[in-house]
Amino acid sequence: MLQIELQHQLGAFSLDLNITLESGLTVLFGPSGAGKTSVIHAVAGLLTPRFGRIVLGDRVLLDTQQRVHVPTHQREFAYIFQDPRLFPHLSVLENLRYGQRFLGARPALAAFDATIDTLGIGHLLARRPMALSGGEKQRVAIGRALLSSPRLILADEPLAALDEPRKDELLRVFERIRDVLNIPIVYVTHSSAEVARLADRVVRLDQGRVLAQYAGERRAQADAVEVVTDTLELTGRVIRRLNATEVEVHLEEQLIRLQDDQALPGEWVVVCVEATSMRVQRR
Amino acid sequence: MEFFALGPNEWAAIVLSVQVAIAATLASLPLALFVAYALARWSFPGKGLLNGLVHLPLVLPPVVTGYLLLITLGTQSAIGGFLSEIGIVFAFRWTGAALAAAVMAFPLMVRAIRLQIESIDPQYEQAAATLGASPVWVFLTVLFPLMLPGVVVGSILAFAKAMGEFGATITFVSNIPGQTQTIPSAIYAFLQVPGKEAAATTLVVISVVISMLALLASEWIARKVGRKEGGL
Repeated sequence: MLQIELQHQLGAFSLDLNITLESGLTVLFGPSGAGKTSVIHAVAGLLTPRFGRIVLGDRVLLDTQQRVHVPTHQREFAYIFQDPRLFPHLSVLENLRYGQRFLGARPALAAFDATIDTLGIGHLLARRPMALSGGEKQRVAIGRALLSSPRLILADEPLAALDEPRKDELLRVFERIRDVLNIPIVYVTHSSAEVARLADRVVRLDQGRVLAQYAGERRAQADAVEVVTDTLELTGRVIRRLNATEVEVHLEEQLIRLQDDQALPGEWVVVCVEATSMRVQRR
Repeated sequence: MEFFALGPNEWAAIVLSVQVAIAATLASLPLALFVAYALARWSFPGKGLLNGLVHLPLVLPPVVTGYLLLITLGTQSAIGGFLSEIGIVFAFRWTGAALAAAVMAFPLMVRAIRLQIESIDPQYEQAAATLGASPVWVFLTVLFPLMLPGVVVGSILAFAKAMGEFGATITFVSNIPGQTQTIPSAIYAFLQVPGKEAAATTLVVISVVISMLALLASEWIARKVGRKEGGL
């Protein structure tokens, strides 16, 4: 459980909120300038608010009144930035292993081989970050974050700079982290598609205030939509029999003549259309 | 080869110049790293003043810098007197020449390192901290490797400046053969004596060669460092 209580002033912008997050994936959702990034910066310790109290489980990370301020590197959180921020002077392998030396006595959370397998970055290990594409960089950055065995992952619009196919790949990665590794995630985005795919809970922010909090409706029919079929089933009604082998069927607002020797007028039938018999015509 | 024949004083000047330049460069490096980091990354009251002080030797006439060193660190002054009591003497010693060279070279070194630090995105340091690296580790594993090209360039510039430093050195520690006489002051001394032009020319050639070697070395190191960083 993560409790976040913040009050802060940045120029004309003021931040004032008090939220409690359960485990799972919480999306901080809202327009640019809503204060989403400031919130996770404060949680990560990259921003010290004027007033604040941040508690993860029973560990107080920040309490401005009690003068408790655990520095960023001792918070044991991983931060996945919009820009992957891979260290340019280190290879992909050295980037991935960067957080491991700071684990101390903590057990590793994710096995190295399994992680690079899941992310599909095994073939990139010897390369330098400069030689990677945007999607590859972000996958390495996610791997680097996971391998630092964080107690919490903070992700700040990690997909914003990627094209659609890359986004989809990485959404799957985040789904896996959420469902398999079971690390709590605070995920900042202004994309409602990402909210729909990922959110267990949504905290809606605007102008530094909480507008609403609700359970995320992960698209229930997501699985059904994803099934790829080669036969289309349409329901129609037989209007009349033309002869022994043909009927006229009312289908999708049109009358169509179909081969059939059994259906009776007035009867509802399922008409199967093979994908191979269909063609795409541009409007 | 009589042209290139070097007397003991010439040899002493060459060895002393290299010794002074290396000492000046190495001794000022830690402080230059700290000052460059402070100027690039921190905001604090008096930052403008510190920046001005660091750059002062660049804009002051070198003789003035030398004179200021003499009146603050000479054996007659309070600070110089105290230092000489605990065994540190700068005036009219080779260490004084190194100090004068270091002061004159300091702004060049700080400037090169500062520009390099400013070109490094602080986001890398944030990312390292979120992965568990303490500030010391962030410096050792991220910041220092990324600022290395600037450190190399700054050190070579400082070395070259220290090799060529004349005005502040001769004012502060005079021109004593075998003790404080560097290549530039030896050349100056030869030019005051009729018939010593050949000896002066020899030192000029040697001075050019040492500077060129330093420059080539810096190019080579910068390329090596650059390749490591940007290589595929």
